Amino acid sequence: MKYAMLVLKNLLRSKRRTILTVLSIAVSLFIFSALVSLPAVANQVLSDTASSVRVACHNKAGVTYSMPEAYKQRIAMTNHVVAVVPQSWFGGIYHEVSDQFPNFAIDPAQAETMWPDWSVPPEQWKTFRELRTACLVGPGTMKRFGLHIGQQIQLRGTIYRFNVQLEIAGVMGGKAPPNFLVFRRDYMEEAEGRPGLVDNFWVRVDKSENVPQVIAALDEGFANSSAETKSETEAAFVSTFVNQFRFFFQLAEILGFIVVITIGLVAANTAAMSIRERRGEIAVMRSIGFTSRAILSLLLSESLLIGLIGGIIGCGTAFIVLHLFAVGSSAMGAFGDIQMPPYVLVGTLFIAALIGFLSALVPALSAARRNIVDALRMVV
Amino acid sequence: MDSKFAVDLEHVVRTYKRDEFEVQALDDVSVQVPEGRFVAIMGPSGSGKTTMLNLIAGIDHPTSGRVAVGGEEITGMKERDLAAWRARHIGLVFQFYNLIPVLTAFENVELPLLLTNLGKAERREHVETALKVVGLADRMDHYPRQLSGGQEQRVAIARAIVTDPTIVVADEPTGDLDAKSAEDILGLMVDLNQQFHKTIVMVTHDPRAERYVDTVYRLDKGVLAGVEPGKRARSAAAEASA
Amino acid sequence: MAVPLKYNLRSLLVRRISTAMTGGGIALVVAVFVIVMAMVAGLNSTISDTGSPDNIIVIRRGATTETYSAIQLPQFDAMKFLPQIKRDQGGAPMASPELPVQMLMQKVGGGTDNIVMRGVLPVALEVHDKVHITAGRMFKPAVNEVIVGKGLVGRYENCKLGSTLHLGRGNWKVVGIFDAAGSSFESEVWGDIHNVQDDTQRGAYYADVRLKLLPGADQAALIQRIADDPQINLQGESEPDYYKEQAVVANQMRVLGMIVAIIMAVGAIFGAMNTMYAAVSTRTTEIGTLRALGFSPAAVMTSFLTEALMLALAAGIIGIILAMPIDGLSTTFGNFVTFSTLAFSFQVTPRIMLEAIIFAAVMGVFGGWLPARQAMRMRVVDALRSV
Repeated sequence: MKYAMLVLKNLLRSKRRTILTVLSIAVSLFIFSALVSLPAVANQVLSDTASSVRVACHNKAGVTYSMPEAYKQRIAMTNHVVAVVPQSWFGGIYHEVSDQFPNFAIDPAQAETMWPDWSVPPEQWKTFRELRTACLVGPGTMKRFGLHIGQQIQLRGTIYRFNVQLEIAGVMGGKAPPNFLVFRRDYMEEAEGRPGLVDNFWVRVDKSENVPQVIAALDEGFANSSAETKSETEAAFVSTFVNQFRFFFQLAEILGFIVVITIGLVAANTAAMSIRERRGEIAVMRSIGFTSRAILSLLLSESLLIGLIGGIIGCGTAFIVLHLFAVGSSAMGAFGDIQMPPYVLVGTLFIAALIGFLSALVPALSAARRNIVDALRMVV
Repeated sequence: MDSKFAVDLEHVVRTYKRDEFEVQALDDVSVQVPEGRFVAIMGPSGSGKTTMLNLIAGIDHPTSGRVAVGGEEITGMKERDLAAWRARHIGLVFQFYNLIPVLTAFENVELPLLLTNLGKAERREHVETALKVVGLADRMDHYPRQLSGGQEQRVAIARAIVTDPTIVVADEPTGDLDAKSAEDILGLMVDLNQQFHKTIVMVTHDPRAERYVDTVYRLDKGVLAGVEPGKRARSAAAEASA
Repeated sequence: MAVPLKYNLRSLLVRRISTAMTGGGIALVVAVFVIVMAMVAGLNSTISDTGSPDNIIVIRRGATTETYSAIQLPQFDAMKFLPQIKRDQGGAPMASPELPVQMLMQKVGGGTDNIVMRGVLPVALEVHDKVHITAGRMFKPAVNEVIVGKGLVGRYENCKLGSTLHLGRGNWKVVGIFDAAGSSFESEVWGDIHNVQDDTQRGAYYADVRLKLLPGADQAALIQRIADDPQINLQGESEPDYYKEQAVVANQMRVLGMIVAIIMAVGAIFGAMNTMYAAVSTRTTEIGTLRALGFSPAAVMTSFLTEALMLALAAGIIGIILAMPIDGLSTTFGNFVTFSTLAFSFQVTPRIMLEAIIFAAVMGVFGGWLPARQAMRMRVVDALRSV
């Protein structure tokens, strides 16, 4: 690459223009990669955290409807079912109303079997089973409020007219949602006056091939009862919550698309301008003996380099920003922090290179091909 | 500096820095040009003639010494005042015409008038007159690219005289023209000088110019090397003594 | 004393492609701005407009929304005859107990969404005066009949007059369609509160109560009484205030949208700067000539700044036109505050258009400033020398 020196020198020649172009590409790709990460994150959450052997069984009517506790025995007796954990939503507030995080009550007995992917050490599960007021907290929430194991916290009831006093028995890491809190349902039941109702049954199946069969068995079993059920895989269940945000995701993708077009225009304009300005010197170079191809590759390399540098800066910054800050404020509900998926990173760099290449293509082609005599005449 | 002269340079020195080098463009030059003259400043490349012209036109400042034009000292004037002064007193003609490409001949000539208080109708009158004087009244609405070199220079001259300036300053006005057009332009400038008594200071290296001017100032390496009467003065004197 | 505008206008037109591309960039940024702001305005309007200024909403103490609130019957009884509450012709208080419940509804084309079914009594129509039945009739009491909000029609299965909706655990006949002035009620299904209570099997309770104020009544006194009276012990708030707080998500969207628009604008500004710098450097001789002729440095700077501004404003107008088709576009959005889906329409308001133009102008000024300053600062001698 003996032209490398030339390429570099040319870029450094008009420092201001190079810097401005690189910056405008960087800025636009920063937004683009950040925006496009949003929907990707949601899909990532789904495929990451959902287990292929867990099934959620809830009331067919909706999430706010409950089912009798007694369903647990029937579910446990179904073929291929390994474990059943009843769960009810509590929705308490810690401190201020704005300090919300999702909190649920679960039956401790088979929880360890149900969620091995939470990476909770056996001693902590044991405490959870033995201490009535025990709770497990996700690392996101632990960090957010500076909590530690053994700490006592209180959750104030909102729709439930009682508060719960809990002691943190462990941290639910691994694939657990990072900001959740779970405590014991028998504690909640007692405080409620034992209504014997459950919002959702988590069911673990022995092998993923048997999941469809189990789902069918459960729903058929409870059809025509007072609380008909709808069972679905964990992935399907979680996706209904994620679907709430599909509107934003679509919007984010559309905006990202528009941003790319905008950068494309800006870059193309700059490339055209700078190449037009250098008509004279290109003509001189051609008359000295540089071939059309050499000129073309020179110009395209410059533009490609600008695009790539802009892409690296923009994408890299977005990556770091997303990584450092938990952009998941209450705007994203259950999701902790957002990270840039690798394919967004690669895709953005690819777009950066493409923009660099395409923006200079037309002017570079015409500059490289122009009849030397005509070109020289333009100089003089 | 009480001066009756059109141009009065007193011990003018102009040095400027190019990177670490100090270049002395003018070294203690003193020149006095009476009103109503058509004079040329000539000399080899690098002699300082353009610098001298720039000082006279008020677009540059001397490093030391004083400059007065039309009896008014401009040496210490601030840029904003100098701009206003130039608008009123100086008419500029450049080697490459320096017409604004996106404006028509009419609009180009009108430009200096926009710096005055004249109303639209009055401006139109002045512009048409100026263009008539240079013989281009029928090309008012042409753009510079639609005119030949000679015609462009005529428009530039019209622009230079439209405000009735104290002096007209021309930098290599024939430098870019062919022989015929050059002669036409020089002839036009003589007419302006004779009919309208315009003081004209012209920088040139065109040897033909000597035939048209009253006085030639020769510069060499930033120093005034000599002052001679031009052929016109000589022939006028010859006529007078004949 | 000013450089003529036609000089700037024609200079822009002469370098057509460059002007078009820079203008295009600015136009797109403005379009994005308008789209996002129109979304925010639409969301805000739908949510905020749900309230009536002469209504109070009463929820459990400490609850933030009716979604997480519960009120018992005795509390309601203690409240409904308070003097500040308006009475209807028959002398009955215009106090509407309500129970909104999230239920899954089938979307046309597949999938489900959480939709609010609001258990109400007929008095709800009097209290919520923006709600009007436009087709069919109000449901009869104690029967599984419902009226459906306009925003659901066509989006969800069986939301048509005469159809039967399967909601919750039961089947409900659609006997009426209602309009609610574009508010969030239009994304709801209304049925008899007792039937809803039965369906959810959570006992006879209400989530919230809406009270209509007597004209001229002391609202603050009523709210105070609702809080202080030990038999009531609830939290009251004017509906407009309540819904304004609910619109928190719209505000978050606005902040996010502004951030995106500003960052994009920075990119566009860099692009504009590049273009203007190039223009200045191409026209160095012209600048020198203008200055030599006597135009002041300030006049030259103003001229280039004006040129940038002209470009930006024109681009801004094009950007607004580009975004216009979105006005009135109706779509749905998952409101996690109420845990239900809301239909709303994008609104391109005059205020948004004004803000967009100002935004464009700001981009023009920022983009043109430094290059214009450079044009001003040139030494005349140097500018003329660079032929």
